[in-house]
Amino acid sequence: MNIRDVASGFFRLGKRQSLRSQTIKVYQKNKDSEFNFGLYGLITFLLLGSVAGINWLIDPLWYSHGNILTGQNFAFNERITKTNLFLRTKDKVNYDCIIIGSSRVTALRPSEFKNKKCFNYALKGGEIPDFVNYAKFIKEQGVKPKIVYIGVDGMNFVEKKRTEQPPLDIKSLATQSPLQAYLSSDVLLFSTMTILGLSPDPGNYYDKNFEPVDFENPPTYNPEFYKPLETQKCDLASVKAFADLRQVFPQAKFVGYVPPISAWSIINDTYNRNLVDCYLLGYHQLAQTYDAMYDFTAPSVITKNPDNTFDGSHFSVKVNNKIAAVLQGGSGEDIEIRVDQYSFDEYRKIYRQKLRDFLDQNNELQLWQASDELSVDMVDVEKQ
Amino acid sequence: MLFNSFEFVFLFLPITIAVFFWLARDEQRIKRQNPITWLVLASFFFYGWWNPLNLPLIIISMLVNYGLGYLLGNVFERGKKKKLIFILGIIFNLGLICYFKYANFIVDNINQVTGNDIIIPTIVIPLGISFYTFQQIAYLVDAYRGETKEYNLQQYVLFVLFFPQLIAGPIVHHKEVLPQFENSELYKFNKQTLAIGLSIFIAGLFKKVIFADRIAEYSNLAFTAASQGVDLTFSESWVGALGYTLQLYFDFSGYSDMAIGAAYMLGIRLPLNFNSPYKAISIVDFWRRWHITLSHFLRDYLYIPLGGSRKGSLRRYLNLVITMLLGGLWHGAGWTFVFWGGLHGIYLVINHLYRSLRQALGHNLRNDGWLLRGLGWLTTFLAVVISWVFFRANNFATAISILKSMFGFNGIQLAPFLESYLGFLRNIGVGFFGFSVNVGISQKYATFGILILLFIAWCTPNTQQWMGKYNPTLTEPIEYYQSQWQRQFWQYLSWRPNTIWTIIVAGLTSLSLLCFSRVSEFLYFQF
Repeated sequence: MNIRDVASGFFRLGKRQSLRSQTIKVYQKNKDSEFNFGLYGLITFLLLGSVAGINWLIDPLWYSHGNILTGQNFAFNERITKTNLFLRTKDKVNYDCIIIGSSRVTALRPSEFKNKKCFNYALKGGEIPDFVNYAKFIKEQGVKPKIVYIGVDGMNFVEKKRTEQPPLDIKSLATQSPLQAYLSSDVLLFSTMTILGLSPDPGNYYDKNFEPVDFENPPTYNPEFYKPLETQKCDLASVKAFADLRQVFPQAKFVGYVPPISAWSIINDTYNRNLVDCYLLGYHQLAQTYDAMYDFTAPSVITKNPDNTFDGSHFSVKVNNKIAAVLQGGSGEDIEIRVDQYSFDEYRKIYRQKLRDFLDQNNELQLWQASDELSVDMVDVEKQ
Repeated sequence: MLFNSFEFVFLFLPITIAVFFWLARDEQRIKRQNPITWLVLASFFFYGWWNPLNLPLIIISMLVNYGLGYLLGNVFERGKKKKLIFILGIIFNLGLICYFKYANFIVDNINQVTGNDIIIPTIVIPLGISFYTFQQIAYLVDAYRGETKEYNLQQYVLFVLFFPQLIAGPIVHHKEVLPQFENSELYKFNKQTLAIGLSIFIAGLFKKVIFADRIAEYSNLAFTAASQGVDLTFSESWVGALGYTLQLYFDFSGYSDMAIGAAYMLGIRLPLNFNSPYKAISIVDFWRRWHITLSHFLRDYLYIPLGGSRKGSLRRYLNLVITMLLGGLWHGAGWTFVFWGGLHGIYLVINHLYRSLRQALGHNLRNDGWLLRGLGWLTTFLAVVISWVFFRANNFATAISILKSMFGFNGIQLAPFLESYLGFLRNIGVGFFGFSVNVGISQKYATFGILILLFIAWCTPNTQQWMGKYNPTLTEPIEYYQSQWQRQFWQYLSWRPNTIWTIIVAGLTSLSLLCFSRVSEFLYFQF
């Protein structure tokens, strides 16, 4: 095909020429030319080789070594990357500690858990069905943890229209071969984003040891009080699902914790929506099953400082290091409530007092709901 | 083994071709049919790769059919015994397909009607059973009619098992393929033949992994949400329906191209299976262009034996509907497939009635102007899209829900990014909340993806036309309604064995290979 021929032939339509004569002319011209298999192979090899080379250097799926170019690994799809990392390291490390949770738990550094070999399998968007699936997968892989840390989010205890998901085949998540890991345009996109520093998570990235590290300049969180969203009904069915997780690892010690949320967010998204009692009921019921249960959501020096979070919901690695210390029994800075050591009424009273103090400190006492009566808008189980 | 897999592209195909031509260098080996033996072995390996448990059934099926075919063609001249053997053969084939493909469906329906609770274990459908059963039924019919040659068992096995067409067609007739293996030219390696086959294979691969698989993500989201009871918006339902329409087109025509290309690399020509079906200006025209080999099979072995058009108009229309109903059932064991087939049967009856009426009025249908042809094309395309909704949906409730949204029963909501251009439509009740988080369709990618693919399906030549005079199929694609300047334009852009096309095919190869495995970023809204 010759572009000049194409153009001249196309625009010379006025001068009628029989199609046959034109065709013969073109074919005669190309009589000696042929498809060049050498060139075909060379171009294909160079294109694929370049892509594979870049993907191997960055290794965004954490298939073999992670990013050896800049040492920064971004969390594009933790379901895949953490599964690859887990399968690659489980025999070498012999994990005796597992951390499970949502994106709020991803910033916990395993190395902060002294004398333990932890694997942090927390996932963005992770909910209780995911935790059960991943716990079973870990067990199938022969890992027998002595201790399991579980991040518990209040959102698990509200009514939600959950569309049925197909059963998750975790094994199929793992990258099957080097060809899949490196010879892929999607992986190339992730590699390019990594090189350009375009992280999907603005708060932190993973270092060369695959431990979270804070970005130097994360987005700034601007705390404010705003009009609450619609209220939701309380649904404590998930408490049992969380408790049942113990049956997956019956020998392990279970420590639950509620990751911190900025004090403003707690007022806006929980207190003003009449969800505090619902959440506290859920956490307290769960505390009866677990060996220990901590709540970091009550206003504290951590959650009242906007510098500790970039969105009010996800906290820095520095804060998570403090949480790790508390979870191991270390004394904190009064940043937690040890839920399992109180009766529900005591827990609720302490929590409410902290909320009130925070509103008072911010001259927002008009938001305080004076009634002490328990208020839970529970779903009608019979109607479900 | 899938055509779009690394093991097929990097190992199976090159090794099969290389060994075939290596064996074909020696005339003695050709006489001993060693290259054919190799193709048979390779085809067995190809078929058994995914699940070797599929092999016993296809082997039994081939042996029984070959034996019956031999008896019909070589032992019995005519008479009751011959007829009995023929009937037994048909029962055997239909029995196999009924058991493996329809047993669960039949029992479910019996249970529903009678209120019983008969339980049979879930039967896994063997790979390609619909295709290889149809091919063998055709063989038996021809043997019964005395139209088969004396093929040896190895040739017969190759006819059924030849890997390029085995799993998803085209449905090949023994008279089309087997004689080609008797041509001595076939065994001479030819670079140009390899280049043509490779180019067609890559074109098909590109269609499958770049076009079909990408647009499938959006149609899957829409159909999955609808099946879970989510009311789709107007835009979402159209994205779902058009997305699936295009997914099916590029998936199936891509697969057919890969089959044609892979076979041609070995010097074998397969029949044309697709000829730009969405350019059809009537349903009759559509079925001459869509899955051509299936249409031919249904015509030759079902419609005509039923009486075709020889027994009056009423019988003709009835035969058409019956043929299409069974054609629908062939596609899948479900009432939505039957309905899809029946719908096309009714479309065909309406189309024939329309043509009869116009012919009675003295119109020459071949002289229709662009306006009538355009109206015919639009009507045909919409009818086909509506039918695909039933074909894709899990059940009637899902299909009806999607169709209601498509036709504005839930209001008309367009994509938000269109508001700045079409905001004036608000006056007539059109909204701009066309895509919801629940369904998760990316509005811009989906909209532009569909527009681009529609342009390709409607306005560009198909692969065989791109190949120009090098067309490697047994039948040539014909473009009925193309102007002189269009023909000239595409003629200039058609494939040739030169450096520019070498570079283009290398680029398409690389892009296709890079899109074999999908890895998407995990998107989350809640946390």
